[in-house]
Amino acid sequence: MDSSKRKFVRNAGLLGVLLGLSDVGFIKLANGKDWDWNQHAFEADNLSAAIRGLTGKSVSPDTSGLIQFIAPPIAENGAVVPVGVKVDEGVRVHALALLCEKNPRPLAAYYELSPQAIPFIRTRIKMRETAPVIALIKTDTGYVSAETLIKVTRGGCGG
Amino acid sequence: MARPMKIFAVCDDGGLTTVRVLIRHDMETGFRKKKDGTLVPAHFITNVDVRHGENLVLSAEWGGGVSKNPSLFCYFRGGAAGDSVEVSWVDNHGESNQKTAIITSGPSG
Repeated sequence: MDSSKRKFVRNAGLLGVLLGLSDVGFIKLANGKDWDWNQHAFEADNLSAAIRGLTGKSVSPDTSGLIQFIAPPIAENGAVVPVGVKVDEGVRVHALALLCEKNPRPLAAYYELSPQAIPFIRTRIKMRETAPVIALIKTDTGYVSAETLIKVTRGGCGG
Repeated sequence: MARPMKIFAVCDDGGLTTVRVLIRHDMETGFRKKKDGTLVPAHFITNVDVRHGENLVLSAEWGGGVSKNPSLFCYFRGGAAGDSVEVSWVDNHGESNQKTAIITSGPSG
């Protein structure tokens, strides 16, 4: 893709988001909703930029086995890969992000959890090809990440 | 127009509530090409909020990397059968939807 097209797509997306925010303005007032969307992180085209956009600081590897993946080692269809991320209930997880290293936009999903929520999320994500899937969590002491390799036999980006 | 969404909220004996949300949405990344080679414009859900009564339990931000017709499971404590769970979402075109479900009792999912 040439850069002007890329820019157009990006700007179109931004415009859409802005329109979206103004459109739901009344809902926001009525329910006190605040639709934050981390554009830097979601539109980053490589893993390290996406993680930087999320955390703004360093991330430690998960040496103590905090993060548990519930995901198939092999996904037949990259368009629908069920991924669960679970952390021990005793650990306060403020936020949890799911990233796929080789996707055109590595960051797939970001969740902020209230103290009431159990640190366990299951979502279905798209994967372009076989790649590590990264779970990044924000705990009281900082950011921790772990990864698991998921093999994809059919890519999920419709290309 | 936003298509219907499904919410299942079940509280088990141990006080753990499982919320399962199914949303009908194309979740277009903006990278997919039509047969004529032109790109399908990005159209995906950017935010999903899950509330237990007035309390925001989970606030999600999504990109185009979440699958078409998204499914989300989340779990929380402090809920009871009869309480309400509200899920609302908005996409990058400003379409939005919200729905409330009542927690039932049963085994956790």
